[in-house]
Amino acid sequence: MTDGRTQTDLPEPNEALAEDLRALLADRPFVPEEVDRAIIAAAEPHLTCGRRRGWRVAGVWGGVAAAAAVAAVVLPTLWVGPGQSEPAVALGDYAPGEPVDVVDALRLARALERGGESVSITWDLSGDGVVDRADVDAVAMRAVVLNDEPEERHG
Amino acid sequence: MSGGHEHERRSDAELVRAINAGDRRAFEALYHRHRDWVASLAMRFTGDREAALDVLQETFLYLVRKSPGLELEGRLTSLLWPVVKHLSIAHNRKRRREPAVDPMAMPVRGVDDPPPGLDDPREALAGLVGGLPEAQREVLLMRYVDGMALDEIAAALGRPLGTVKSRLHHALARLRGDPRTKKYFER
Repeated sequence: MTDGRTQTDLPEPNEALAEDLRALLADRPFVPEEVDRAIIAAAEPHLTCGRRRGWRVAGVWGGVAAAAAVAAVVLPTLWVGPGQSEPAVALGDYAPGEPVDVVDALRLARALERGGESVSITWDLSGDGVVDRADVDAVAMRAVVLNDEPEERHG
Repeated sequence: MSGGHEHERRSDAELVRAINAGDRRAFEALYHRHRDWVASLAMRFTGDREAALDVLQETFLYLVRKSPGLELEGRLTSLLWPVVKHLSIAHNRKRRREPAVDPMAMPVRGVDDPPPGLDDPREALAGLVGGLPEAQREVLLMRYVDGMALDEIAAALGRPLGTVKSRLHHALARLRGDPRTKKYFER
């Protein structure tokens, strides 16, 4: 821990401090390989955007396909079965015009997979009166279109 | 799932430049290089496995959304650290729980627990670090758990380097001044 930029006027602690602090904070979640694939798949449309201009039409459908792929690989791993705790993040309501992203599509897909009881009808983006997989695709498509223009949701 | 040996040898900044050019392999390499650290940090902030995985996803999607145009001078950790923190706090709020009053909180002893003994410095360390002011504890953990250099911490927190040094100074002084944890300063 002595890299020349880290000196204070106190003596540097020995390595045991870092080792013990890391041991105390060692609770790291296991990341399933499916989640790795899902994140990389969700990133793909944005990377395509950087690689190729004029991608918008193909990119939209590519994004939907990526979102579908994401949902397909993530759903089995994030399935909440009997006796397990509910997901940490509730889907909430969708407000028209509110920015959405692929994670919202994933979250909606996961909520539907659990039975959909907690899903607000506000997520009926397809307007057919029910919230179903078509709405997952609609959210994914909207996310890709919105993401074509820079946005700062988490900045 | 490897980004390839060529990418694994490249610096974070080189990978970011490749990501800006739409290089999927570069993104994979950067993701695998920092995934465990991001998941661990998110777990520290949220205290919840599923929320940590959500934050992991959103952190890397945030990153890739910034490309092209993403600029990185040093290590990615100073860029990702505040992203993970803010996304985690947002998750805690969405869960309709009280936002973690202190997202860096260490395990806290119960009032009926026996006091940490001299023979268990790790227990004492947890108690002492848990009792530090949040700003000091944050810097201490960034330095010794996340392995960040002081200038990286300053960049991540958006604070002057002197402020970071001062906070770390006070945190270390507290640990060194306690007989239960002074062994961490012995050579």
